[in-house]
Amino acid sequence: MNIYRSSGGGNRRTRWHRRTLAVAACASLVSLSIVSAGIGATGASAAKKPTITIWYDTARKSMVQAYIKAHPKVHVVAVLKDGDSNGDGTYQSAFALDNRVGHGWPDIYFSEQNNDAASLAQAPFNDAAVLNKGLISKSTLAKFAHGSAALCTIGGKVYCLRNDLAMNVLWYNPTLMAQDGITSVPTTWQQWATDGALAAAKGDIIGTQGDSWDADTYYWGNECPLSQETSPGTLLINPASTNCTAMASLLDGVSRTALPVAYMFSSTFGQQYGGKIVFYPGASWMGGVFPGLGSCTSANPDCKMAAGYPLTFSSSGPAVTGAIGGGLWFVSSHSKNLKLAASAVVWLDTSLTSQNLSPGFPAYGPDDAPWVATQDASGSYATPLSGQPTLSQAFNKAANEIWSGWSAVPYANDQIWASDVVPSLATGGTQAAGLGIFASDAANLARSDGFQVHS
Amino acid sequence: MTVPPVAAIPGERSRARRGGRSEDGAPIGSSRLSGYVFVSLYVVLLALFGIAPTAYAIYLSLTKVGGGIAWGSNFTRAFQDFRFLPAFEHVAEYLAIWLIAEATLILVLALMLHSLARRTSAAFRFLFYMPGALAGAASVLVWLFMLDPTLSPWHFLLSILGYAQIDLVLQPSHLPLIFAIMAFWTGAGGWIVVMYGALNNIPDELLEAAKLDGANAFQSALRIKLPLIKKWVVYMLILSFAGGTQLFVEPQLVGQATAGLVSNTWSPNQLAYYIAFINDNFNEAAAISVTLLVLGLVGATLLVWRTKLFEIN
Repeated sequence: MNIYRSSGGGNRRTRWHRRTLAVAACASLVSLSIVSAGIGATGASAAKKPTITIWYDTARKSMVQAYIKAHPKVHVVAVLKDGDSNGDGTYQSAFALDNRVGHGWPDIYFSEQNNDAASLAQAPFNDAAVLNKGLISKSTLAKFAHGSAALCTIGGKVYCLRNDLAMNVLWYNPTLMAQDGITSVPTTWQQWATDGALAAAKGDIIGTQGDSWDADTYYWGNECPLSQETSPGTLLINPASTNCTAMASLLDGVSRTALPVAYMFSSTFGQQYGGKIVFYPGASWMGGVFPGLGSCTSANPDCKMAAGYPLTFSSSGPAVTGAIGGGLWFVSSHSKNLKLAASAVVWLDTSLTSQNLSPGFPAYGPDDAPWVATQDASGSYATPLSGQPTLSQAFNKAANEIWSGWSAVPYANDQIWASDVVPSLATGGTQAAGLGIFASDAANLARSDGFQVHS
Repeated sequence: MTVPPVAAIPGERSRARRGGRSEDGAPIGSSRLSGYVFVSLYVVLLALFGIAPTAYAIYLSLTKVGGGIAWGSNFTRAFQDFRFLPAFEHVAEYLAIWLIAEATLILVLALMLHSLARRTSAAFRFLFYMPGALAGAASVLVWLFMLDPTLSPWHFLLSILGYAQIDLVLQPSHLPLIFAIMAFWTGAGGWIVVMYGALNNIPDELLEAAKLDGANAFQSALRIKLPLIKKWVVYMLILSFAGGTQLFVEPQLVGQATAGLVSNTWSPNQLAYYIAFINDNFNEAAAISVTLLVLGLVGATLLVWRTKLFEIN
């Protein structure tokens, strides 16, 4: 028996039918209104104060906060990004969309990726503004370290400002050196490799390999032409150069105990190697990292490092070094307030208030000495051994030795090294084999980006 | 013996009471109208977020970056890209592992569940379904911990296999298997529940008759149950194939979390993303997307055609 039919089902049916229709119609309307709200929302609000939008990375947070505090009359929209680290293309993807829709660009942004000028200043993104044609004074630009604008300069136009130089030095631990029986700070790569045996005997390490920075440290640091733009649009990638093969051979000769395949920012590096690092050829900003590894503290002498001069390949070899990161400040050419944007970049990159909060050696020369003094006072660094340079001396010499033959290209060299070479090194592959893998993949990428590649 | 219709099988529809009244007494005409209104909700979203983007992708794939018709040049350039074939090879390996695992393990587990007592079966269904409650990105993070020998609760197992650190685990040759395990872990539970539901639609009388005829549990599963849920299996494979060819989140997140150990162009969808957003070439990227669409459609059409999925009994 149908209960509806037996009890005046007609009205119920009508009510049922109306309710069903009403529910369905409401659901449709809600979905449509959600969709239309999403399309139509602009989020625009009139701000009385001049407004700039800053995209920054975690390490620059305190600098941006300092800017906001020092500029109460400017409304700052600060947006935390990943700084395009490891060449993951955060900014490229954002600008690809912004360029299509015609809005959404920041006024200024910070990049950890030192090849970003080559990518963001040119087609197809065309975002970075030219800074040396009126936006920033020549007198300000002249105070930046010699050569620091190389990665930012394309055809005589400067598209970014270096925040810090990130040049590689030789970090050494005086306490561990004494414990391991190493009597002097090495000056050549060969001496460093020989000391590896002494370090390994005590379970200590003299550096790492098999992370995305190998090329920046070892090959850039020995004039190995793996990314050398010899003329506009022409790239030299020659892994067979003796500068490359000699370095690969030297690295392959060091035991994996002394030079393990490891990454400084992996979750377990501190636990495994904190307090066991005798030497570390690496960037100037790393000095502040060592005392924070694993159970390390700034008071533990096993964890404090001093900076030595960059290693040379032989006593008569060229005094050159590489760089890891360094950071670049950009002004977006799409900014509606270019002057304010440029002044913000200048403040962040040159004021001592800001640079003292930066983990790296300032590219802006006048800030170097006070920045080093601040670092020295922090207690994070070891006292240099007798006859060895001070932090300031080591950094200043290294800053002038960055090899200019390592050109910024639109693709990320460190990404290629990480995905294509590191797996091979991790399973016992050699640096010599890794060079070939890298060169082949880099050449393919370079060609797809329109370069003429020769070796 | 009367066999009630297995109404939930895709492609089938109830033929009862056509032109009469629905079960609750509402005229069929009214039900039909309500049905249209309900479906309109889906149709609007499908048009906006399914058909329109697809049409736009097809348009982009056939036009040049600066405008003008490109015909097949975007496709030619994409096919000639040195990363194109490796990306498809990676996904083919991944799909082979994943689809075989789905077609076998899920069915075995569903059949086992179906043979258990209801209460025990419900507990297992809940357990199987739980990983599926994690969103894709969250499950990748869980697996990153599981696969890192220095963090994993299963480190002893990884150690026995000779993996002391994560870059040994994430070797290029291991990646298809690892991503297939991740996909299976998150997706299998849902499909096991669906297959269990399909098995429950099989009339008890049929299974009892088979039993009386002397069929053991294995024969009953192989000869009676599996043929009756075949269409569900095909439905699962179609959706999994289409989803699997679009693999993106797993390699992208694992690559980012391990400072680039997995290439950012490992899968075709990643390659399309790279070309769209790093090279700012949406047209060539659209060509790769359309290629994936065609592959999915061809795969689905073959399965539908060969298995007569939409045929009404």
